[in-house]
Amino acid sequence: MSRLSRRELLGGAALAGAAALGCGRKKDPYRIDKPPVPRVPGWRTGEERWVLSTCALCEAGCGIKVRVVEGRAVKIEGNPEHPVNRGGLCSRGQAALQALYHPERVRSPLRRTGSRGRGQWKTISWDEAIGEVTTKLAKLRAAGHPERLVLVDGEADTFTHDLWARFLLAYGSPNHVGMESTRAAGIELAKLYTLGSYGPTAHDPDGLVLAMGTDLLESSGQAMHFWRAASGSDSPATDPVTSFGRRRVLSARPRVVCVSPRRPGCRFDEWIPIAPASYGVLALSLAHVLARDGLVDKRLVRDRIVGFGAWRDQAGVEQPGFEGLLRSSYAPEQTQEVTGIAPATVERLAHALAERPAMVASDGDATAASNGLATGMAIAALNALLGSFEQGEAFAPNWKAPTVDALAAAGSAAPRIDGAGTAACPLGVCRVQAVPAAITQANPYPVEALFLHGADPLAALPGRQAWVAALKQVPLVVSFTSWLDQSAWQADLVLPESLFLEALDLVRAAPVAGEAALSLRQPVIAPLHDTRQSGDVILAVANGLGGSVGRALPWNSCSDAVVKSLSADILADMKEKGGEWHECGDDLACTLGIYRHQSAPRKFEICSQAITLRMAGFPNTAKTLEAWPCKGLPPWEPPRFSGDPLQFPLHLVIYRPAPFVENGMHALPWLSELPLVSGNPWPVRAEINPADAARFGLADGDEVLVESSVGSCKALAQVSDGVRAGAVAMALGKSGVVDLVVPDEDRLSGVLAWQGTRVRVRKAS
Amino acid sequence: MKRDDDARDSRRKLLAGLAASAAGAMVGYSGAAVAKSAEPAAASKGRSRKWGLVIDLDRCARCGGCVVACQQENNVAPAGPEAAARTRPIHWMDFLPPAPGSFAATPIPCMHCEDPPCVKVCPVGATYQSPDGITAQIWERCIGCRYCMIACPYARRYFNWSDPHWPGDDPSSLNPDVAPRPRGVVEKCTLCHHRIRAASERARVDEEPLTDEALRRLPACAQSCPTQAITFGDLDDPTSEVAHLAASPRAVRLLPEAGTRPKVIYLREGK
Amino acid sequence: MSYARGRIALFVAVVALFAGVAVARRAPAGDRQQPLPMSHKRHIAKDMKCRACHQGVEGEAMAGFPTLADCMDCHKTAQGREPAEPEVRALAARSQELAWVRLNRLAGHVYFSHAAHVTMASMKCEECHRDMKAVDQAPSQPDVHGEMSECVACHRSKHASLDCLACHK
Repeated sequence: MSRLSRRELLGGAALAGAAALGCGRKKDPYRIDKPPVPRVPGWRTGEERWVLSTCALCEAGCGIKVRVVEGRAVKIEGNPEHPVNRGGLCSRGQAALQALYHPERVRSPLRRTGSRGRGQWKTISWDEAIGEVTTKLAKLRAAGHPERLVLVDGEADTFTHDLWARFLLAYGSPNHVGMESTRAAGIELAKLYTLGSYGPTAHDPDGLVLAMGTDLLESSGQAMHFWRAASGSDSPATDPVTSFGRRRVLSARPRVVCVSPRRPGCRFDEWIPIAPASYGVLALSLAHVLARDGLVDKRLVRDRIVGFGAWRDQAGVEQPGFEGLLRSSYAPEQTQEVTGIAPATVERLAHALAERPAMVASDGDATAASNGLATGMAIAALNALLGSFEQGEAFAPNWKAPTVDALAAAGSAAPRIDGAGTAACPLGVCRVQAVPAAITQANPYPVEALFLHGADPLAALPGRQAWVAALKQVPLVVSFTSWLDQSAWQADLVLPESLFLEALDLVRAAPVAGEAALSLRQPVIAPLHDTRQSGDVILAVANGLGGSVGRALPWNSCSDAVVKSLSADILADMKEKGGEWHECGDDLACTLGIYRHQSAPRKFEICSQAITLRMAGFPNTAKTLEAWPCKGLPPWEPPRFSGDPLQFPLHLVIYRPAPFVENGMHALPWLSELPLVSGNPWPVRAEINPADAARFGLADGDEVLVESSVGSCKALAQVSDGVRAGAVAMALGKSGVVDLVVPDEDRLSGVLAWQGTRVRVRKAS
Repeated sequence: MKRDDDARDSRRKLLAGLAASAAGAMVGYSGAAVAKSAEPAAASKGRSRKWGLVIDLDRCARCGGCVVACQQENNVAPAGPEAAARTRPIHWMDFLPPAPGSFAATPIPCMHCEDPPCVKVCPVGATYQSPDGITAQIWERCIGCRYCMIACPYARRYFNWSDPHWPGDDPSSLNPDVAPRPRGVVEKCTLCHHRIRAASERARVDEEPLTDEALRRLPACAQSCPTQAITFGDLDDPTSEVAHLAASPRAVRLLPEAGTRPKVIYLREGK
Repeated sequence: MSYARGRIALFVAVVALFAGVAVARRAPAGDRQQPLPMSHKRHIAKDMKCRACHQGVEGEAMAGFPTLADCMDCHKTAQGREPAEPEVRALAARSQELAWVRLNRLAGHVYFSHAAHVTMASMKCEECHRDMKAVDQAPSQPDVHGEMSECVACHRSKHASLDCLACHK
């Protein structure tokens, strides 16, 4: 009896029919180990190593260490030495193992055989695939139309991204279309126009953080930073041992006040509900109180800020400043109607901001409306008045600009396919949502080849039908992806990308406050399938094209390029900029560059000359410029909402919950099943205020249909006081939610108006 | 189907009740709930340990990192949407549903009670209290009667309604240190005893003491926590961080009236 | 079928089940072919220690098997005149890996640490394994049968931990 465990006994009895009557199937004594795992050559039995690398599930760039046992990756943990996360890691990074071993990964290059979207594929070799791409690109150049190549790129902070950019420059296409307009472009553009460049905000949140929108605290690349800051994790004064478990001294950690139509799911100290897409006017109202009560640092304004008081433009003409605008309008009593926030609250908040070191932080959701850039500029201006606008240098590889031929120069000078930087979108730098219409109308020119890298616009963006129609018109669609996602499904060639745990890359950490890290990503295990990283593919294609393109990208492989670009003079350059190298061990991959921002102080232009110059470049926008009360500062206007308010009485509030991943990996089972909501975490939920629920006769847990003017989505009603009355909050990433959104945009900057849709909610019959 | 609904409702009610009780405990100072654990006598007994966790709710950002860390470390398979609809997902580290009208971030692992009700009801001795104070369960002994699930006032035990199923049935990512549990057995948090075992073995092989510093972030949940809200250690060692934290005036335990004396101690928000 | 006959049939079935399972578990293992006819005897005769090839035996849970690279540390040049020896170099030349067959395997729910037994408890390899000095061929049969009662008896006699968690996972 002792040899038989009780469970085997009971399990055996259940199977009596088969086992007992002796079909004689002997158990293989070598197969007790359950379940059996595949062997990986080169590893001793029981051998294990920890391999350091960098996470890729959001732009934060947390350091990770991966436990590899007998060649299999079995656990991902945070790297305690890494400055971004100091050993912690959120749910997303840890779930990446499920992506690595995902059964639906593309295992080799595929060529479409049936008609588009039918899902009939033929496995081809890498040589064939690269040959096909090279032939097409060579033809396009031979025909004199290199600009007809378009790349939609979902990555922005990696060395691979830099390689792609260099390739397009040498090849001659201006169409490196990022996904920023659907993310944080409103905030980033405001930085560009007020300070002259994007870049990390070098301000530590040690007093008050005014968080606009909930994404910042839940899923943004800065979330890790704010979680750690808000818990006082970095401060030695709050070491739990020395403080004997008493609450941290309040002054030693920032207080996080969140302003949003929806209560955030992650840590905050105070929540102030606000009407959707009215953050900009709140920022202006706060600035009004600061200016009115003399709470603005006069020296700071005199030395560092252009355009607060009256100022002279480049022509020497005196222009009215921001202060005048604030004095005449945006009193809390006036803005209450728009924001729904009581004047007393605004006054209290403004005084709190002035009392302690404070910053206003936000992610893309605060500016995702038709007034996106104006909102971003208002938030930036408020930050300027609070003195929180220092900026550091971002890392760039020490490449000399490539020598391009005349063809490439002409191609690069062509207008962009997405219209960014043209009269249609004068202040934007990318506008991915405009690509389908441009392709369909062949305006300004037809697209001959479309590359998708780390991007699945069909699943991630509204307007799926337009994308499907547009892709039908492109002769060659190539998707660099790890999965047969919705966009890859419509492609001609699918080139399987190695997962970040199998690739070598260089990662700029998200521009969070204080310091920015540059970390290496190294392969944790050898590629499981016949996949390559897109950097290697693009180098092979460049090599195949030869000529000036080949000379611009002379490296054999991505790792060769990374190592050569990290030359001694880069290190010296970084040290000069106040950077510092931390070498943990002799492993190249744990070498981290950490910048401390000590760049020369720059002037902050509330009234941006760059905006004036850009707007003056086009006849129609120059006229718009004349009408602005402050030259170079787009006036804040109430948001435009799509849908008739009588038919669609509620505002749709789109948010990215904690497990959300931009590239679709939030669908991983562990993330889909995170128990952060009450009840079953899988279904789509529509969070609705009790007042609205009563008005529309809905109860918690009801199956409802959420409808907008362009789509509908089934969901479970979640009646919650965590949503402002008049709004329905839905999480991005759940199926069908994106189809509700009307793809409207900010006409100045091309920022996609995620928050600009009206919906109605009724019980599903 | 009806029975499933009932089961689902009862579990939801149980958890919601617990959440309300937790919220209550967190808001008001509850004298009965304060830890009285750091008895110096125990420390003098040499190697005897009393493992415990302290979870600082003032630090928890509610990111969910600990949940996935636990699942990955302990080979907990995802349940899938159908099983999840029948409240069958397994989360050794779970979050209490927020009580209505409040924001509560309450990660909840097994309480590893000093007087565990689940152990008393096991008819086959599959679950027992280890000398180190871990409420352990030997999967191979479990017959799946689920008495322990009913006995546990915190609903911290889970029944395997089906064999574990990993995406693509690829076992490559399984941790070799933890046995996957088959259908028909009850499973629970082990306080990552395999990590404790590995650390103490390593310390003994290297002839170095197992310091409190090496222990603090030892379990997977504590290791992963970005805000270091979870601390692990020996409650009997008066110099350990957990003992310090457990003596804090903020320390509370869940359902003190149940008399289970949990060794998972919460530090509530507030002064 | 009468009630009594049905009960007898059930009884027979259950007995057969137990017998079947017990036989399956005690079934002698068939021979397993190792990739090389490696002789422990000759290696030990050259005064090599167990840990030279089973590198984890003192510090890790698993003793482990040598990789081809480990073999090549010595066998880069000929060490003897056995016909099998050049095979090592031939494998290395083809950059193939040695697929040693693991013979002693633990049940999935059992944890065993060589470090704990060899280093901490100062046990000799021969206390569990057969004496390899005499084995001239590559082993093809497991030599440790690991009954729980044997583990417990030894733990009891040596006052080692009897906590379930010491060995179960």
